[in-house]
Amino acid sequence: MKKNKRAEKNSGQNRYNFAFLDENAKREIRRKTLKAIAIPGYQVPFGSREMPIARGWGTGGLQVTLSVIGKKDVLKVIDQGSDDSVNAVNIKRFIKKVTDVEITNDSLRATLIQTRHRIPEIPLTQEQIIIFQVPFPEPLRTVEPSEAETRRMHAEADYSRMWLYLYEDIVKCGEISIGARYPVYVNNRYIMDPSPIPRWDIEKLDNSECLNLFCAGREKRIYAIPPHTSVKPLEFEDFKFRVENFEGKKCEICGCESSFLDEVMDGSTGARRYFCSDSDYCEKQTARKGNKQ
Amino acid sequence: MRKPVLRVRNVTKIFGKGCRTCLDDGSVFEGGICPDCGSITGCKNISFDLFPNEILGIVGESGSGKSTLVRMLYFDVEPTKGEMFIEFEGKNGVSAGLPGFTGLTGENNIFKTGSFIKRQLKNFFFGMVYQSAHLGLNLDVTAGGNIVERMLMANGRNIEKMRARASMLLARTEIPVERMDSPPKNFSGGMQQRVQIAKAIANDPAILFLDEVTSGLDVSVQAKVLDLIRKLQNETGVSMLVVSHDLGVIRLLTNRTLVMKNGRVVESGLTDQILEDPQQEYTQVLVNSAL
Repeated sequence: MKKNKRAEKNSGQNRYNFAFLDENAKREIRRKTLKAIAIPGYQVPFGSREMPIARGWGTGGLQVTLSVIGKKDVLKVIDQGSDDSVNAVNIKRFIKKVTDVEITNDSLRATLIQTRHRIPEIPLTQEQIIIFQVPFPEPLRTVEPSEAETRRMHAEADYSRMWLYLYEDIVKCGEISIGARYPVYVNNRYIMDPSPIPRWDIEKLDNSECLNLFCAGREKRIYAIPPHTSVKPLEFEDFKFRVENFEGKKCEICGCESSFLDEVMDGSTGARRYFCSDSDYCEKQTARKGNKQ
Repeated sequence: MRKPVLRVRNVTKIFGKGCRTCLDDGSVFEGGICPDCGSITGCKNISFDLFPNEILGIVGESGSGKSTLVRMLYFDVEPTKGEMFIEFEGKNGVSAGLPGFTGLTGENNIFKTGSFIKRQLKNFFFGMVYQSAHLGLNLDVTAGGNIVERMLMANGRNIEKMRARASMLLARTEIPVERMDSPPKNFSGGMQQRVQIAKAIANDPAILFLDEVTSGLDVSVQAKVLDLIRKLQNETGVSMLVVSHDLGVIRLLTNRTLVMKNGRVVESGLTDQILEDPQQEYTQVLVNSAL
């Protein structure tokens, strides 16, 4: 009996405030998140807290998740589409410890999804919030090193240098060479960095049902795409945006031909093998096939 | 009489804190330094009109505030006080379907509007050629890219069309079109200056500012660049503000001239008249010192 009590006392929920952050911190982050939602695509500075993981490992996403999470939420964390990689597992374990919410791998059941660099293949609903971990929130950083200058450029919608960057890319390479982190126009006003999601996922941001929150812990910025907001990748009239091409390739596990695939080199034979990047989607497809047979 | 495209009224620029002495419209100091607060007078109380199709010259010794004036009009430098009004003929007024232009008319002081509107004006209606090419060009980006950038600013989104126009402009400024995709840092000074001019006129601006465009070029190249400017003015009818310390340039290009000294306009009138029959002492010195 006594032992149990001590165990309870030492468990995560009692040693920390619910969801780790103190209430003032949560309130600040929620306030900044609301501002970000009110100005789609605009980067709102916030006071990024020290977290028990290193900056650059998802502290931004983690802080937003912890500030919006409630006891009834169901959480899913993905890392490059996978539910089981180190980053995802660690964050899940931590959040479980400080909130005791239900954890799931199911993209449909989750009410909160924290993600690193992927959006689930299954369309999300208005009941869900997806929270992106962002390494570099400033899309103009590639063309302008000064923060003061990029802020001015955003304020004046002075985006010609970003466009010029794409133009030069096309002239030099015959192709826009940006893979992940493809810049997008949000609500026809701000150019936004969609975090390093592949081009494949950009279309899912456009007019989405769910709320998209982005947070960079190291760079101390929150931004958002509210539901039903236009998100358009930068493209020219005669040089359209293209997504990754997986024609003729399919997942080796579930046989799916319509999802974003990871390319894996076989160490011994050197052959290229392909698997669904979204592990939950892959499992569902496999299960469905199993049922049919 | 035609309405002026650009009206400038009482524009003053004080570098430094400024005090009652130097902000007073009547005060003149040698070298522009205020004896009371040490602030430097860039421009003092300058007013003029620029008419459609006109080339207006601004001449004066170095440090007389010519460049400061032009940079204020191109919104590179913020004026201490003064007003600027713009009215475009044939462009349906200023509000040509641009965001932020609603309700903006020729009666609005442009200096008092926000930076977003200034940016739009710069992008759609102004062109600027700086004294040295590195101010107006990105020397690492291709020459074609530099010109296309202006069109991108004005929402050009068709690569094929923009490249066609860029090569047409390069041909017009006598730069071999084959060099379109090499960066201007590999170009000679004269060529860089001509790329800058091509860039400045890429959007068919209503007003073109030229700040000492021929300084630092050798005489034969100077002649070519001046020739080009005259040709462009004939073809497009763009209004130009030409700043130079070189009376030759002023004589060749302009119809009307302002003479500046210590940040003030000391004399203004028809260029021929000023050069043949200067009234003010400073202008007489200036005209007589021309080689």
